[in-house]
Amino acid sequence: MTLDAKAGRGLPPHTRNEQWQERALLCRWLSTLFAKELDEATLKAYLEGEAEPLLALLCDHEQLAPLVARFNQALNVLRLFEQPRLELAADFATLFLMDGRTAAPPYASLYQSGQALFHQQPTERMETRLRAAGYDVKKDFGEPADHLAVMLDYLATGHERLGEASSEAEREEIQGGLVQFIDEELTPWLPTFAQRCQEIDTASDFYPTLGQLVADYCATLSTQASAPAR
Amino acid sequence: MAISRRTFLKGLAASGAASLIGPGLLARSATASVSVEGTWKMAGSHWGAFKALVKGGRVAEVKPFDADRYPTDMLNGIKGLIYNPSRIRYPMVRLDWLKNRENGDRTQRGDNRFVRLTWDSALDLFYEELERVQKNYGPWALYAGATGWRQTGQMHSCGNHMQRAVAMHGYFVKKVGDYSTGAGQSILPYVLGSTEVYSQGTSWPLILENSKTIVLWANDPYKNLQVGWNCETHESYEYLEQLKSKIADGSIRVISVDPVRTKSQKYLGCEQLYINPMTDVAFMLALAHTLYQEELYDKAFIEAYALGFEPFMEYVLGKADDNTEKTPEWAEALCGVPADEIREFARLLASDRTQLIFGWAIQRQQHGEQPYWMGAVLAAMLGQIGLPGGGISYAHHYSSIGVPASGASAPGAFPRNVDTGKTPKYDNADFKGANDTIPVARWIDCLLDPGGKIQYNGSEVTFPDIKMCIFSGCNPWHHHQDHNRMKKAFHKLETVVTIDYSWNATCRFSDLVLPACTQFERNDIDIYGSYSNRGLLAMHKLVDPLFHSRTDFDIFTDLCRRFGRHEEYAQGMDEMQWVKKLYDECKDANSEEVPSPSGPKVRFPMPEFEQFWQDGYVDFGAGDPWVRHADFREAPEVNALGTPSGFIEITSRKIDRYGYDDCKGYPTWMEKAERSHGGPNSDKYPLWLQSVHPDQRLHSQMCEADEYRATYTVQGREPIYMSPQDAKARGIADGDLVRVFNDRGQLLAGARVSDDFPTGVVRIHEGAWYGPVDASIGALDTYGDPNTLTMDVGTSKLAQATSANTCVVEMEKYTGEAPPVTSFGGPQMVEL
Repeated sequence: MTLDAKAGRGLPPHTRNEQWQERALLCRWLSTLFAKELDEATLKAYLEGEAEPLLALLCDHEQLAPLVARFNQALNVLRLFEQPRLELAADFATLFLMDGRTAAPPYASLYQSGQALFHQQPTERMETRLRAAGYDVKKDFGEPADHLAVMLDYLATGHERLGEASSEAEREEIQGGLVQFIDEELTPWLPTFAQRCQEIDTASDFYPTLGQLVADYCATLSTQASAPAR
Repeated sequence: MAISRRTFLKGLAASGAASLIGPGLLARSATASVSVEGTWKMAGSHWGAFKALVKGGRVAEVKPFDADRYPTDMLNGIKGLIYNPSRIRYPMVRLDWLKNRENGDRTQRGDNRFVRLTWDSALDLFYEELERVQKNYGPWALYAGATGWRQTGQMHSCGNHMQRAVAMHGYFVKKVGDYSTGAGQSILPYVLGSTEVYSQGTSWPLILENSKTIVLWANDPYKNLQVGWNCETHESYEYLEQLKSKIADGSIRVISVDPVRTKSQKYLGCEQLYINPMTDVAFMLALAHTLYQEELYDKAFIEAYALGFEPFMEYVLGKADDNTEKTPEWAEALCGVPADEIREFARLLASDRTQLIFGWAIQRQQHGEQPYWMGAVLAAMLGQIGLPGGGISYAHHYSSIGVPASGASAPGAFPRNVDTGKTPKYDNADFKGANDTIPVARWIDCLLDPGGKIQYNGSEVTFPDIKMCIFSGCNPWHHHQDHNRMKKAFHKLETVVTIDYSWNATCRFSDLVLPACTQFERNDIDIYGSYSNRGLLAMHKLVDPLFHSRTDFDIFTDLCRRFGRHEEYAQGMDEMQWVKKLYDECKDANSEEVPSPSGPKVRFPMPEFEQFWQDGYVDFGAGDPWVRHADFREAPEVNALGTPSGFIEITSRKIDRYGYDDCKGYPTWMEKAERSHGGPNSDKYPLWLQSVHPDQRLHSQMCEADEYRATYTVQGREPIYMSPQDAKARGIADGDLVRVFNDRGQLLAGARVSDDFPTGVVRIHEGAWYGPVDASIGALDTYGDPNTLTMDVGTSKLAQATSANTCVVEMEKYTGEAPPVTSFGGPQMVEL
């Protein structure tokens, strides 16, 4: 079927299961975006508007709508680039892949107070969480567990587990754990990360916008995850 | 018509949007739990051996190896190295170079955007460039000669890996000499028959027993012995401690000839003889004058062991072309030491057993050959060369030289060259009339003047037209002089490939950057004590290579795979097979039997490899004391020196025949291109900048370790040490930021005002990472790399070595808004 992206807006309120499913989708989508650069096919899909349904889901949160508009504008500008994939890859590198001091390194350990080093307590805590949930970071990803993409994937997995929980008590425990995870492991550094994404000169606004989106979206998850759903 | 949420989500799952969502980064875990206790592993480094507690795959704690009684404080920087935010995490390529290769805008180098590559793409690019350069140009266009203080370990020594792999593909331009001792290692073979700088010296126990006077000439062993070429044992410190006691009880007199009150002087509690910078040769000539005039020199020794004393003395006595007698009064005007004190010092040297011990920084100046040559002449005049506690040494501050050697064989290393009988893929050694080897410190001259010719050590060198450079574990953007000149030279290069583990300036000025892991992320083996061969150390891999970094062995094996030579490269072995092979060969070499009261026994018994690897260390025991040049003294005809005559050459006919105006047939005083204390250019730039070896780094290694760096920086900048007088005259207080400048460049540094420094002398330790505000020529260096200011000229036509310590500057209090330090980050972006 073809999907009318705009149809997503103003959708009737979702059920609890649908809400978890959406959150899992969005978290994993964002994780994908921060895990690596876009390849040609994926970029083409973005430029052809394939992300619209996902953006529509984000627009469920009123405060994210301006960022979604900004993201769409970034895509419009990208369409004018001669080599958009390379420019985006260079932006990605500039923001996330060079040294871990300047720009916006996507690692929780580097935002701790005190000395900024890789593989610090946030990595350890994240590994403990993953182990407790029965997971490891895939070897070929080659990143420590405090990488933003891993944390977002953990969040996606958590929301999937909510849907699979066999009892209300289990659901509550998972839900509580997720809120605590966002508050303790993401909220302390994502606003700084997002801010740094805005301060660096990039060719496109694609990643700076995403940097802000991920921080703001996680903030909505933190406040709404604890709110009762239908 | 509105659709339901469920329908929408179903639709999304089936739409193109689903393709934007990856498969996830988590896998079901196989491991149940992680040991909370952790494991202690053995590791080695230039800074010494240590044990590391590895917990949950991370280095949690580092403590010195039990056998190291004098561990360096720098071990506190190890964790900061491994987990440093400056780590290179992925293969990266400069965007403009990727798009345009050799036709790109090279002025962007150092200030440009990069993109990530997979290892396969990165190595393909590396290989394509090697192919392009060998095919389109030839071996003359490729420089892979620069190597430096690689991380320790005999198997993974990165220069060997880089040069073996590149040599299997084609020939390339190499270097001769090094930045540490270029002038010394060139001149001393003419004078004493070997480089001396890298030779074992008279054992400390004999010096302590026999010397009455020790002269530390521009030498700071207490500072410099913290690091070693192989794993450092720090055994020398035991002898320095004994020396300190002997100074205190008056049995040995130690005099530090130095403009600066050194760390060694302060530790030992010894005397200082202040001398104006770069005037040591004038001072020494006057000493020779006094020794001669007062007949204090050893005529019999000169006659039996040395050649060319007379022509030299004619020069000293003012009978040579310059018609200037090198009297103490003549020297006083230059060196600032009163004539009577010069005479007194000469008398002291001749009064009893005297050991001269020179440092290296003194030969890293224009005409740096001269103080070393003149030191040897003085030692010959004193007649104590070859006696215990007498004569001259050029290396007791280095790698525990002077600690008696065990006599055991050290392990070999992964080969640097192509295997015997094999030829490179491009078997073309035609350098088109250019030299295949250039003096190391002249490579920027070479880039700027292809086809140009220079005189070097008795021959003429024609510079090749280099198009591509490869650096591995080597940071020329710290160790080479005059960075603004380097920037111009780098605009000429078509391709620069760097393999390293941190984003230093060399990476920033490169096109292709490949992440090697640190030595703590690989298994290796090393000798414990470069010259003492005290033992053999296992270097356990502490953690897996971080991020996407790899060992040099893996990187270059895969490069060779691209031209089908990977099996040959690795000789069909993996890392641990290599480590075991090196161990087993060492064990064989040490298996010789010697007689003992209970029958023949193996002199250096070594267990089977598996046992060694588990124990982490084999001790070879302490060696026997030894006297440098004793054999020559005993029988000069039989044990002739390696000089052309076999004797100490006070005058060198060979050098004389070269006809060089800046290195004549005997040691001479020559004015420098610039010099403080009344010398040339001192009216404009009155301060001598000395850039000696750092106290809290190994050259540039460990500068990036933030927490440790913070123990010595001033407002986040490298310290510049200065006298209270110079500070006051410029309104500078301790802790201020200062701008240091000359016609070559400018930098920011943090003021450290100290009585240890005399007027007109400032110090910035070399190895401070370069971090200009932008890529423009003349840009302010934000951290304080002294090579932003130093002069890039050869010491002379003989050695063509670095003259880093011939440098004058001015400074001022910095009152503007200080730019952030850029040294430890990746490239800054060009304006888009």
